[in-house]
Amino acid sequence: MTKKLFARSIVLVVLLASAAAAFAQAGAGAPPASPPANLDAAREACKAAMNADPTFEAYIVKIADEKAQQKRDQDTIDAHNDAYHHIQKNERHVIYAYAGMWVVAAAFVIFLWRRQQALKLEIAQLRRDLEAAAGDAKPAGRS
Amino acid sequence: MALLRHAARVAWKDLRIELRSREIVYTMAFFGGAVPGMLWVAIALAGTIGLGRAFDRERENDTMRALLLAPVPRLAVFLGKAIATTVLVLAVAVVCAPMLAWLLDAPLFAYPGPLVLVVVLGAVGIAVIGSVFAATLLKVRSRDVLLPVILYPLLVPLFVAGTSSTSAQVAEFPNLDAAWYWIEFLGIYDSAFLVLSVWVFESLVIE
Amino acid sequence: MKKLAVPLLAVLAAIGLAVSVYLVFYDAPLEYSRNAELQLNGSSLFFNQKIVYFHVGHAFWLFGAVFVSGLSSIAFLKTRNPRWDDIASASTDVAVAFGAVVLFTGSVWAKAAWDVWWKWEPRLTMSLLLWLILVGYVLVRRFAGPSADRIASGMAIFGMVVVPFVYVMVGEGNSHPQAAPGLNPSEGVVGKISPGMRPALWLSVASFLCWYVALLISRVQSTRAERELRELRERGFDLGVLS
Repeated sequence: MTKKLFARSIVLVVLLASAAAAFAQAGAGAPPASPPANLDAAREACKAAMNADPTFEAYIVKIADEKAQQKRDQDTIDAHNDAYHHIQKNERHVIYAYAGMWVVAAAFVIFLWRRQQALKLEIAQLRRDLEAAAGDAKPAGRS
Repeated sequence: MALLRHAARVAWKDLRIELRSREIVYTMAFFGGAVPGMLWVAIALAGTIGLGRAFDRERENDTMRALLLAPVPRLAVFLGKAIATTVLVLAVAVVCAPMLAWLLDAPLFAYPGPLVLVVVLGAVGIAVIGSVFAATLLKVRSRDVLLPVILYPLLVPLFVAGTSSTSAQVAEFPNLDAAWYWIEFLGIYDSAFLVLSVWVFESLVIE
Repeated sequence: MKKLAVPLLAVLAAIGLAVSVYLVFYDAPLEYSRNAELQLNGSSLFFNQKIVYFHVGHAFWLFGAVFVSGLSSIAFLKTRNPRWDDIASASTDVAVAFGAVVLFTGSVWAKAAWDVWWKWEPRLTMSLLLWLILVGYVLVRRFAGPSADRIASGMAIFGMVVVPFVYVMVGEGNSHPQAAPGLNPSEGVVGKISPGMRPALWLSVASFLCWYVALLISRVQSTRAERELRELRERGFDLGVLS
């Protein structure tokens, strides 16, 4: 949309400029002695033609506004992306913390469990041995 | 009062041996070398070396038993050891502090009152906490490994407070509020542990 | 009843934890920094604040465990009844585990808030020291030989006394002016937390209490079993079964 407008305005400028140039050339006639004067006149004519058309100015302002809006939209998208990454990072930290908590708890429980099992086994073994020995030595072995 | 007299006697015994050998003082003064940090490193080393020496000597000759069996309260033995260690640490500080101030051109003595207080409180804390655990570990075989493991976590708050207070005094723009805050911290820390030590020493040290 | 205590407490803890996880993620509001400067820097905690609930839940009972162990050590030194010593040693073991969680979650929190895993700042340093005292206790128990129980009791009592210094005095002396309340890993959290967050926090604290007690009881049982084993061994030596 905006590209089209831009292209149109360029075409307009080129047309106006060439028309003015043609007009100036025709007016100046044969002696091409002073090109600066010609150029100045052309510029003046061009300006006057541009100012004479009220829609031209509006076009320029509209284009500028559209460009600014585009920039703002991009900024918003960037900000959203930023916040998204930020929250991603946050989640990662919370996950780390929770994982750490579970790992420590699991390690401690496993440690306790294994210890308890080992102790139980050893106690049972010793009891059996003791009972056997006590049975041999004296019948009234308390356990 | 009798307790203090006995404590003074134990302390004097240790200090006299020290004066004769001068070994600790030399070793400890050697470590005196940047300003608040260095001062406190010196104090820390003086404390641990002093403690080790005070109790190792008793163990080498197995005289701790004799000391504990002496007809004085155990508390006197503890206080004596703590006083002797405090005096040694302070001696090192007295040598180190002016040397540091002179060598490094630091305004260490800008506020003499807080400086003296902070060093004395630091020394007392090290000596008190150190004496309790050095005495209880005397008979333990892995003592050399366990003593630092037990002692350092308990002593580091003292060093943190001491260094914070000293650097607040020495800073380009001295912050006396901070200096006094940490002195207060040290005072409360010391008195809490002194009371606790006096209270538990007897039940901890059993021959 | 005695046999049921541990599973019962564990189940309670599990239910409490499940509900508090729900509250933490679906009920408690997201943390927005009340400090404009921090918001500009993008260092507001937002979702990270959810770490706090479980960090505090553990920290609470870390201190509880240290106090239990200190008090029962005092009772042990007074009465010489080894039952007290069992409780002290069990409580310290649990405290080491809770302390590990507190330090780890704290360190993740520091990473989220300050972008460093660790800072040598008085309060953090002191927390580490407290944990080192506990680890020292465990080491003493293992390696100090026959007088280990007394030395360890001494450490437990001293460790208990260190706690107030760590969390009251050091915190006051070192406030970070640029930090918003409740966002700084080195500041007190509980008093400054917004009302919507409180149910989740207190429920998590309560469930970790159940968890702590369950661990404590089973750890005490294992110490008792150890003592029984030692006695049996002695009898074995007496009878000549063992050599």
